Amino acid sequence: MRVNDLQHIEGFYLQTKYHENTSITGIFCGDLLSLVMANIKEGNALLTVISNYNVLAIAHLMKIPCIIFTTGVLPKPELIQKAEEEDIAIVTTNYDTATAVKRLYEKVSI
Amino acid sequence: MSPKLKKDFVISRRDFQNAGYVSSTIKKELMKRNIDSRIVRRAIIACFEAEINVVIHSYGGMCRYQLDDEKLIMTFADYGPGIEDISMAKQKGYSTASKDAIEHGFGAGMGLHNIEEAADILEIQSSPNGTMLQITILLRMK
Repeated sequence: MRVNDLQHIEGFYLQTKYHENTSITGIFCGDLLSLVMANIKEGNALLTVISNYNVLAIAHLMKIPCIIFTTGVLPKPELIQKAEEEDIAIVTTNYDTATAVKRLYEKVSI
Repeated sequence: MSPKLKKDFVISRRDFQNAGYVSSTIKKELMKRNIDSRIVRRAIIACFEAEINVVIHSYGGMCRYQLDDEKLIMTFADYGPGIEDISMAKQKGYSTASKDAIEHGFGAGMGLHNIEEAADILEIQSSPNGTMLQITILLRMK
């Protein structure tokens, strides 16, 4: 799956530029960052409602190419800009995490 | 042989924004030395959790890391208030974190447990005057 596939799904919005071809190897959902850090695999997209610099730091450290903020969480512009600088794609959606996962599995092959 | 390295960092209380800085520095250094990525991952997890612990729980502190060809030693020292019950704190899910920490996505009670899992050697000393955590990661090249 690529980021490009996500932005063609209704209700998913790509917030960063130049990331259409970033590939994603799977998805991981989590809001407790210790659990995210211990369990997420390199290349996974992270679905979360926590939008702060720590999420970005973890994504950067763990080689997470894409963060999908669910449940209508909209990160600050500064955070989006920082993500862009670090080559991390940011996607937002109004779906809650469970629905977002369902939509993803319906629409793309992961 | 890569040169031995020693670096010190200050970690401020409640400074969530800069948490991860030491981990990021260490990651770069380990990758430069061509260390096995699974070991780099363990080093990062242990370091990030320890940084967050200082940010969340302490009145502030510091980190020193020492690196040579065989091992990475990360020492975190803070000014208190100390860990009341270390064996409880190591258990999954045991948390004394503040609401503030939880809002930042931390405080799951996994920190010390993750550090223990990631470290090859972990030493903890704690009193109301402060906590000293020494994490050793044994290194192997790819």
